Amino acid sequence: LNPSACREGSVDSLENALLGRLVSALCATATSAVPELEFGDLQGAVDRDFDLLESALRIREPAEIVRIWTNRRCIVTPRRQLALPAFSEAAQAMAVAGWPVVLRRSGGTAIVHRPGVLNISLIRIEAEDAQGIQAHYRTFLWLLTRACAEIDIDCDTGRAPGAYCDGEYNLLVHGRKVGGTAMFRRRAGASVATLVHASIVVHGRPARDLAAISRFEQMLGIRGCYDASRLSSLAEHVAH
Amino acid sequence: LIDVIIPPDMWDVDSEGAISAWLYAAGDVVLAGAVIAEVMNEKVTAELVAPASGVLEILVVAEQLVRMGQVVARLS
Repeated sequence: LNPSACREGSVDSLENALLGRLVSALCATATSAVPELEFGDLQGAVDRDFDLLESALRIREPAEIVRIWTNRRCIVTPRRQLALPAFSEAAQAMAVAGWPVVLRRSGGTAIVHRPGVLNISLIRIEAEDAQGIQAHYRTFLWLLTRACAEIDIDCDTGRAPGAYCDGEYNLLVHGRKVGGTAMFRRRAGASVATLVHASIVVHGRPARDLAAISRFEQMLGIRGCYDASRLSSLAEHVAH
Repeated sequence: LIDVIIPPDMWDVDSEGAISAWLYAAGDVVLAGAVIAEVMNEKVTAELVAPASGVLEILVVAEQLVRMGQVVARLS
């Protein structure tokens, strides 16, 4: 694990060791994986997924890229929310509160990035749309659950009603959400580019993440019905 | 007039999606192959491409529900 990954936040060494073990397990499971654990520009770190997708698509050859990365503390929300009348005011208020808002092009609703949250992105370029959306999700979740199993954490997948950005393809431990996924697809001729990415809460305080998301969404006029007990971190399920 | 249709294979199951955003305004001239809108189904965003060049007429506003095969705009 690159020591710079520990530059921000107050996390103990056991928790960072857990993050490092997960990164190693992911690299062992997906041999083409590229860890990028330096903290850079918030929006740039998110945009890099889409830059990689566009670059790979230009080559017009089947390709697979796995990126493992972290980001500084921010809220990451779909760019469709830019159209909401209160967006600018809400984003400004959140930035003042220490949660700058950045935009992503995949679906879903607001999530958080921060030290302790590990992001995994799978980019695939296919000559034709041989796999459907569900197959891409299943392949990706297999990678994540297998890596978690390598560090002795048994994960399931499915919905977690009450969790923020809920969906069918969450990563769960004992029914509580530890990771969410979202997807972006682009067609270019017969070729199809698919980005599916996940943010896994390795350590930290999911309830604090939820409080920030709830505050942001309330300012946007979105009434989420959330329950912090449906959220968890991988660290909560490791016997120290 | 050329219809802009949500492709029948844009997502896997027969469920509703929504136009996340139109990337051009009504009355804009768009070129064939340009990405004119983003469509979201569940947590998947996909791009809607102009099938031809022309002046865009929007039939379904952003955030309104759509189904695969539905005509959402026209190009003249």
